[in-house]
Amino acid sequence: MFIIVVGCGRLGSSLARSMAGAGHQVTVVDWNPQRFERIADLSEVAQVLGTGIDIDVLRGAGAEACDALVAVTDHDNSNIMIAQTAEQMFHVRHVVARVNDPRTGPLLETFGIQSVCPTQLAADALFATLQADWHGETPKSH
Amino acid sequence: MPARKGAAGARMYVIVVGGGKVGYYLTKTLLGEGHEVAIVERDEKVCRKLELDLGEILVHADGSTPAGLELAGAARAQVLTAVTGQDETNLVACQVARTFFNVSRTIGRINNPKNEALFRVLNAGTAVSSTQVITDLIQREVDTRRIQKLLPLATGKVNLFEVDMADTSPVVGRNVAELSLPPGSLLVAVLRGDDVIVPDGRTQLRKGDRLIAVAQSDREEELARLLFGAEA
Repeated sequence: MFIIVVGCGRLGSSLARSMAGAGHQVTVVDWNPQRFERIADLSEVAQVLGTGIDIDVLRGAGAEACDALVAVTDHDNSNIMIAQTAEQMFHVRHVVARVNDPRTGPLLETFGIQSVCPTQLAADALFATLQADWHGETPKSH
Repeated sequence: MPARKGAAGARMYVIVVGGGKVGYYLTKTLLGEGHEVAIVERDEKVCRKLELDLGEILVHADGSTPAGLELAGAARAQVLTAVTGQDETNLVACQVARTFFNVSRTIGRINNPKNEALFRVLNAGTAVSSTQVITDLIQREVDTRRIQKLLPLATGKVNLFEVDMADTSPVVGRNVAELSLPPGSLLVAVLRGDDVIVPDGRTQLRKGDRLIAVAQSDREEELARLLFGAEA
């Protein structure tokens, strides 16, 4: 698969690393050149400098030809806009946006965008870990 | 300043998202026109600055979220205009207003003129680009042709033009009926000195007339060729 990752922060760079490792063709977009240091060792991953909310930047990154696009910048609204641009302007088949604010989830659902909320995932995981830890114990107080 | 009625005479409830300079002056202007306004700003520091001046119409919230717009009373707003410095925030604010609160008129400020197409495709309302407005004004200055775009209608599908008739124009001295105006174009007014003539077929075009025409954007070239011949 040819996948475009918009946003080369901790999440975007890790994602690019995993996907390139799995044999996919990956292009990463970010406006801040320093962020590419995170993937400097990945020679097979293409880097495109520019803001993801610019249609020409996405086109330059290959949005017309890609199979999937993941919007993982730091800003929820940017990710929403990038995801909608990918779907409506470039007709990308698989699009996912990262949202930080769990309350934004229903909004994306209304707009028909698939999303993942790391905050919610982390909250659920932390809670599940604690539950497993205290499994079988009786509380000290009610 | 005493409140006066707006040009249309109707008092509207307008939500302004973004308390920067554009949002501030827009709010003041709308209030001056007699409209009811709520201004939504997410940043607390900016809010503190605006508070003394704008008081209770200031809403400290994120205007690009359903919760924020709920707080601003979006359900009863006739117009929402999003004028933060961020195109993405303005887009989402317009979409939320339309989708969640059925606000029929939404206007988003954009920095990148290319985002206008996205507004259109997503049915997010009207996009206003100061970049584009200034570019057009400059373009008008450098445009050596005497046909100028005055106003895009239906987000640019149709444009309103002003045409300066020079004595070299092949249509000077002809009646409107004799012109074969391209389909998809219409002559709506002839400005002659201080007179405004709504033309019919018998109206004769004279040197120095200024014509106001409406044309579909793909007919602009054809119209220019008709009015200026090879010169265009």
